[in-house]
Amino acid sequence: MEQRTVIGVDLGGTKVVAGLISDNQLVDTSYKLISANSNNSKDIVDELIAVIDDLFNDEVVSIGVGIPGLVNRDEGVVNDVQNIPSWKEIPLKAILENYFSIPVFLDNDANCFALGEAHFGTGRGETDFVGITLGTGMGSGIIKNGFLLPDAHGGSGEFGNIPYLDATYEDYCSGKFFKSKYGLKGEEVALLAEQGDEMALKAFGEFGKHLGNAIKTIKMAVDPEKVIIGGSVARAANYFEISMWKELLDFPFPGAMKNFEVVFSSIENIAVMGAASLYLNHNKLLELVKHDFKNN
Amino acid sequence: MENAVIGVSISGKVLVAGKVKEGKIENSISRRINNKASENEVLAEVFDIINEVKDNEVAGIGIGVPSLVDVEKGIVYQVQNIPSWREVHIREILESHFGMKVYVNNDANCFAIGEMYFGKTSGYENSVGLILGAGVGAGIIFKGHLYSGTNCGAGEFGDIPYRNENYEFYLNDAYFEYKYGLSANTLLKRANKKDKIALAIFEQYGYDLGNLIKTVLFSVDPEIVVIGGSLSKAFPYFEKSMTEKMTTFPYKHAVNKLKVVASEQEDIAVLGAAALYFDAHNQQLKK
Repeated sequence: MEQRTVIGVDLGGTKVVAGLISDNQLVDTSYKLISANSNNSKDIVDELIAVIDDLFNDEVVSIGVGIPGLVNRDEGVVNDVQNIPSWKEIPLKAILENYFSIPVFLDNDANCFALGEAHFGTGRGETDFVGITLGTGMGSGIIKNGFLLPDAHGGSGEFGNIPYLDATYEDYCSGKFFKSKYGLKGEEVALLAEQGDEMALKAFGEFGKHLGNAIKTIKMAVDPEKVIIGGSVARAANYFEISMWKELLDFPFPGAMKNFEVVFSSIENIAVMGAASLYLNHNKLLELVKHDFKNN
Repeated sequence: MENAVIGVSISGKVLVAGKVKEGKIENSISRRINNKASENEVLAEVFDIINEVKDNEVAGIGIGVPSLVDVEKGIVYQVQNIPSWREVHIREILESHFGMKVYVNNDANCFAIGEMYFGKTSGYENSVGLILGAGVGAGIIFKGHLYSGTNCGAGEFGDIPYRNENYEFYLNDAYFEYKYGLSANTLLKRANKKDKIALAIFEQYGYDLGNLIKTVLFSVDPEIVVIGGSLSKAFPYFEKSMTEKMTTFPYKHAVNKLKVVASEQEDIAVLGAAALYFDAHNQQLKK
């Protein structure tokens, strides 16, 4: 990666975290709780600007923002964020570029996680993998040739929304599963599992089976070499890894699983770093487009 | 200037070869495969049919096969309906015999790239070609090129678990016979005559297909999906329920932008196989 100074921002449901990256190192961070339920979309925009302003200096050449919702990456518009009801069709790129006068790039937060893993994390040096974040929800991003898959609208890798059993994969493969099935938060079930609680271990066993099915679906859809799993639930991998693999090994083409890997990653602020590297992804897309013009 | 390319489709029962030039098939031959024959006997039939359509304008050969394919090495595995073809190094064999470039891929990938060069997805950068027939297969195009995944296993949406089985179970043509005791063809003829039962059956088919297309959309986010295979002829009868199911998609933006169309290209198997040559050729130009 080039040695530039850039800022990455990860907008969550309750707080926003920004990080300053220089010489490929995260050198400073800043965060702020957000007023997610405010009726005024400008409130959160102001909070976002304040967090970036904390770290901003003259060396900073670009800003990348990861959004927990649907983003039009070409137009730089946030279409919809589930946890922030006031945000509908926010031209965030234009707003931030207008304020900071440097290029701004937006993408989905799970895509930022995957890109962060590719450039700074467990996936460094890997060219083809799918990054999955398992926390309060399930998100994922597809890395192809070291960059985000150049899909039509930035909406690829939304595996959590795929129909599964009576609901979707997200309902069975994120914190939602523990909440709806056991009435507990994922963290609470993990604590119980640590103490050897049978119900908690059984819950994780079931969770692993569902996650195994989700990974099989991902394998059938886009056939990656590797899956990297992050997010808060990844920290409890010990309790569901075996049942996950049992399900995975029951694959219609056994040969395809021979070199397949699932790794767990819990690097702090990886999505912030991924957001910071969005400008690299943007440059890569431009390159692809230029090539196409040359040939036509 | 565009080269002429031979496209060969090995569909299990029928072998078709055609010379494709400037998007048109100039000369084509089809004949039944003697599918009980040995590996070499079937290969000899492939040699013969290529020789019959080949002339000195031909620069390369593309082959579409209904099987697992190692695209890099040009090997086909366990070809449907040809028991003797368990592992055939078809590219190497044909390249040394004909002295020209040969490309091989599975039939779904040929369909997807063929529709991009010669059919409904022409002009789109990101598309998916979905074949609904004896099986359910899909080919994925990103930025104008075929995407195969690590083991050439991408686009196997039919194998994804669905209801009590997988998508292929509910969406392949034999399901109609299994579930309703009527062949897909019979149902299609009845639907053409506005038979209520046939229309109801295709309506249900549309709901299941809508879920599959949602799965495709969440996975790879294309601009357009083109449907081919024998069941694409029933498109008018399942389009409405399919669209209805898709609009339950949580992200309206992506759904509103997605187009789903039926293929109208009768010769897509041969054209698609020939398009493998153009895809490889254009990809090399980029490098």
